[in-house]
Amino acid sequence: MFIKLLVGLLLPYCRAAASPYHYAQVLTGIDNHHQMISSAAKDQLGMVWVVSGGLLYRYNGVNVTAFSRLYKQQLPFDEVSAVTADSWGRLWIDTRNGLFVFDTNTWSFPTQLPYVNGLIGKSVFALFNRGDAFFLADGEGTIWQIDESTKKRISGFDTRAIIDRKPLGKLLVVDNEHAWLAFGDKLYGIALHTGKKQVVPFPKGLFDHLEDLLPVDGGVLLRIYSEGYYLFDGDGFRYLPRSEFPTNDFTNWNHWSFVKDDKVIVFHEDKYFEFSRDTAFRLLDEDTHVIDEGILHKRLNGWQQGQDEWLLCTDQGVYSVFPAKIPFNFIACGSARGMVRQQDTYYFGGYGYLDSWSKTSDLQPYTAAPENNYYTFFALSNDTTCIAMEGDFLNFLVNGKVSAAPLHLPDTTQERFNGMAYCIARQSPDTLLVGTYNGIWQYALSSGIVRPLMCPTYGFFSRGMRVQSISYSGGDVTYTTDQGFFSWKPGSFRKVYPADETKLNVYAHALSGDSVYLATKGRGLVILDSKGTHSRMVNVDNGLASNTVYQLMDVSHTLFMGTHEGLSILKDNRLYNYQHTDGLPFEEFNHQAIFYDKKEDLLFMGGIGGYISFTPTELLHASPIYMDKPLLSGTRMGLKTNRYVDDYARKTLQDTIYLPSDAVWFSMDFARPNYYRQAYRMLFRIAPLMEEYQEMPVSSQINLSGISAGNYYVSVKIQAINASEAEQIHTWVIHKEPVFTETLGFYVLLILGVSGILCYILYERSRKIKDEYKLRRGISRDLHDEVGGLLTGIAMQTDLLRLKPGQILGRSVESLGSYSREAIQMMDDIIWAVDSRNNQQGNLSDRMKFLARQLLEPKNMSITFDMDQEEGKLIKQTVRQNLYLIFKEAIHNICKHSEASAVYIRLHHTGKEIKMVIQDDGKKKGMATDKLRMGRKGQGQQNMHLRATQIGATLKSGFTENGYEVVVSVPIRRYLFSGYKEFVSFFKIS
Amino acid sequence: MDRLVIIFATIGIFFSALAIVLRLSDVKARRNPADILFNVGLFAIMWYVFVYMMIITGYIQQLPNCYNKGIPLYYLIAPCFYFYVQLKLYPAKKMPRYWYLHALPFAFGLVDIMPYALATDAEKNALMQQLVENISIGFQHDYGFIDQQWHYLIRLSLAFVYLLAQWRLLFMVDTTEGDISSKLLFFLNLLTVIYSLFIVIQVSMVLSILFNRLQAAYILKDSSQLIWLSTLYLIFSIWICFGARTHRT
Repeated sequence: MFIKLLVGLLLPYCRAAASPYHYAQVLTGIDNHHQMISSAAKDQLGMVWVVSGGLLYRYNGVNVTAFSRLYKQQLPFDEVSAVTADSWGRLWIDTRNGLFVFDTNTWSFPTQLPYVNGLIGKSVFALFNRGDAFFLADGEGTIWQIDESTKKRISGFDTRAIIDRKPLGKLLVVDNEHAWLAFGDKLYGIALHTGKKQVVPFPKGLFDHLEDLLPVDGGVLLRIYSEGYYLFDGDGFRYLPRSEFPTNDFTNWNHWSFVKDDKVIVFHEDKYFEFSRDTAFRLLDEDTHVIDEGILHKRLNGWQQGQDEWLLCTDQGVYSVFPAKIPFNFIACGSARGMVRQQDTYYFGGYGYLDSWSKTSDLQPYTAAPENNYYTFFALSNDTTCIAMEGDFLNFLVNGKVSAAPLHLPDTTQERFNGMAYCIARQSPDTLLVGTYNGIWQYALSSGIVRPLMCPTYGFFSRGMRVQSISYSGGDVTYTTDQGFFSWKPGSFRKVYPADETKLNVYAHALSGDSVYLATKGRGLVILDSKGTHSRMVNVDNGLASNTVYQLMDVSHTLFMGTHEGLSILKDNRLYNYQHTDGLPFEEFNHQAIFYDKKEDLLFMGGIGGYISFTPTELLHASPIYMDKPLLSGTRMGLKTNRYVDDYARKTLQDTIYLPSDAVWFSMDFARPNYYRQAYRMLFRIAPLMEEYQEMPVSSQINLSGISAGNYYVSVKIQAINASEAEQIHTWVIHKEPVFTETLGFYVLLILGVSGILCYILYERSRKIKDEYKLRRGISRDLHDEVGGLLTGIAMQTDLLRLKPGQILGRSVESLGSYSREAIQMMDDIIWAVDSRNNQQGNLSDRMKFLARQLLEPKNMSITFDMDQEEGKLIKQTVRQNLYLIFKEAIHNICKHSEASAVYIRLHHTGKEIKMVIQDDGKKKGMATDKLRMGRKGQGQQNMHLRATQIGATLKSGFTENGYEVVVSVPIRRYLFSGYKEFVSFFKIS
Repeated sequence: MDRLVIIFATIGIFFSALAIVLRLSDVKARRNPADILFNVGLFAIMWYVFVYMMIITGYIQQLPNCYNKGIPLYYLIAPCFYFYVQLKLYPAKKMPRYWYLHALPFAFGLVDIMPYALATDAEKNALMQQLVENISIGFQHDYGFIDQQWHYLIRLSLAFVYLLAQWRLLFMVDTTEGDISSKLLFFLNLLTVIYSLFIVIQVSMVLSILFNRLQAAYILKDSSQLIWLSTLYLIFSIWICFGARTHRT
């Protein structure tokens, strides 16, 4: 009786199949303290928009952000009751202030566009997204069909009814043929193609208990609280009693349904049903599910279909229900260990009773055998299996009958025997090797004698080791323990991996060709060569589901691994992973729970929930890849002086992002849409900072700080977990504007500055050399022109002395003296001119006065000097020399040709120019004399003009009212650093 | 702006080539050592611009053998222009006795291009592919006996020194004697000014890279910087082709 009761209790947990739908939690809540979500919708980019506490939030797969933060401007509403997404990136937000539409593409609230014009601010009764069109029933009794850019009225309804209860399900549903609206005790059916409207009153009380509408071919299904399903087929309402439903409770706590293709999918308590989507409502399939425990019991607040999934809002976050990719057959026998097949029956080990299942019978506890800890099954023949027992050493399963293996422990055995057996291998037809908690023992099938496996050299080499897998091949024993992988043959025992003293828990091993595969805890899969000298790790970094591998088996050169986080398959160096969202009913596999039924080509892999079975090759085909494009969901920029700029608008998150020159750091938030479906992994690379892709941090945030000007290429790669070659890469170009010191202009200025200084130094050096050359040339010219002529005259006079008589001789001697004095004067002038110590204006004035007095006073001419005697003013040597020579020429002309009685001499240095005037009161006489005054152009005048030109001066000469006048004006050019030179010279003078 | 850079440079190359051809067609100029040096300098600049454009546009992948060949030539630009100016200002003056010392960098460059010249086609193609994707590979690759960035540094440093000497020549010349025409002097001054601008912009770019090595590839392809070089080259080429040619002495 007790056993029957126990079987009755266990039966519900022994299920041999499951619904093809899985679920995953999308979001636990806004935060730890606000988990109640009243509405949720997913936009076309995969962003989940949720309503909680009357506020709208966006969940990008990583972070929840309040809409008020995303949208910088004043929100046009205060309280949100529901949000629905259409297929064009728009959110239809039902608020206390009426309807508002937010366009995520333009990041704005359009009010005047045709598709929304007139609807903003109106109350809304129902919204429905069919995918290709959006439908809306407004508070003024109009049903609208809205597409990407326009809207059209498809019908109207009576709004005068009072609705005191709004169900969580849909009041407005639309398929390709009809739109159905339940409102105010009436059901409105509108034929979309003809526009024909049918208005039918609900049977009394039915509308008050309406939970949901489901459009079907030929009518509409109505889910009624506490009654089940009604059908309206165009003629009338019809109750659809279905005995399959476990209870008559059809509330949202235990019941949920939707339409999918040609089926109506119903979850009721733990039952899963597929009904035909028509007026017959025929049961097509039946299964079990756990959505009731996982979601419905958390209090459903609403649901919406988005892409290929359904978003369910609960008091404990948002869940997604979606179809599984692989239809794993699930044997829900509880935590699984080994298994075996005898005849057509499969026996599953574990803790408690064995479970048995065949194609002709349901899974059930095998109560013919006692409860025990059945660990590993080792088939000796088709009808005999040896079972390693975790406690009772060995049992035999012979044609479905379990019996304890006879056990004789010789008295001579010195080693401590432990009945905790974990693995078995056959050493000879009569001898089994059994891995136990204390090493490897030999078991003789014929006699039942058990003794430790001894080595002549090393003795009981496996003493104290918990042996977890064992193989015997060609005289070699290989086994794994919680300390590593070992190899033994008589006379030779070694720890193969890890070869050092490191301890590594190795759960299982498999020999295949020249390789040995190790399932490890922490290092994933380790592949050794046959000698164990070279090893290679395959772990999470390489794409393995987990670094903890509990079980593995080589089937047709394909390695199947049950890990801590899903199923991994290695085939030709390519990894495939399957996880919960791919249809696995559990992700954590168990040690030794793996079995290949070669006859049926079925691989069984067991874990914490039971066994799954599948055809091995089925998992090697590329399954549909559910992958999203990399998406930037927000940016944040830190500017100098503690300013920050956030941006979430799609229109600004373009492929090229410009950072101003004062940007100090830049942060990019990437969305992980649908990440809860475990379909992809995300990697990133920033060029030129990184060469290889790296795993995206959990925060999905990339920060750039202290960046110099230039382009940065942020590439994000979405890689399918099951097919690494399937990937999507998107690259954003971040252009950082340069600060001035990073611009080409700055460097040009810098180089020009440095070059300028260098050039100035070189210029100064070269100028001195050049001036020196000029001076030398000038001196030689002057010596040649001036002194040379005089010396020639002296020489000629000397020659004449020898020829001429006394009186003439006296004149010649006088001439000689005169020429000599003139030559001395010339030499003195030249020396004075080239001596830079005479560069002050005073020197020039003194020299001019001296010359004038020397030449003019003997002629009884009065001289008037008008000279400013500023010692500090410098005159360039060339200017001074030429001015003096012009002056000298002019004085000589006065002496020789003017017959003047008074001479006026002026020399003024204004700082901008030097002006020299030589004026006499000689009268204009005849043409010939005047020519003499003016016309020494061959010599004097020409020289004067040439000298004036050399110093950039203007020279004017001629008769005026007051007499003959020579005026020389020398402009003073101010060069760079001339002020500096004057400044220096001032101190020198001081 | 990228297109403008390429268009300007391409037109510049055309006029430079035309200027060289026109000068070579003149028998007198063809025998004049100064004009020969000037043509060598012009050709070296033209080749430099040509190869740079090929890299930027990616066409260098079709002609991988063109790459790297100009390195020795680029060392000749500065001494050629210097001696050209010297020979024009002082026609009586002869080339210095140890003139070949000025060609040492050319020889050194010639040796350094050998590893690339001797590389297999596959290696060249692979390098060109990398170069087009990342132009900074140009001074990071290993096909040479020295670190390739030294070519840029040495060449520009030498050019800077020669340029200073060139300016000194122009300054020191005595114009009062009336031996040198003002047109020639103007031409030589303008040539030196334009060449100085070339050098200043190139040195600026090198400095910019030195202080921001991370963005070397960006700087070397930054059209907002290259546009100055290409515009300058365009003006220079047209001037050399039409304006300066008629003023040669």
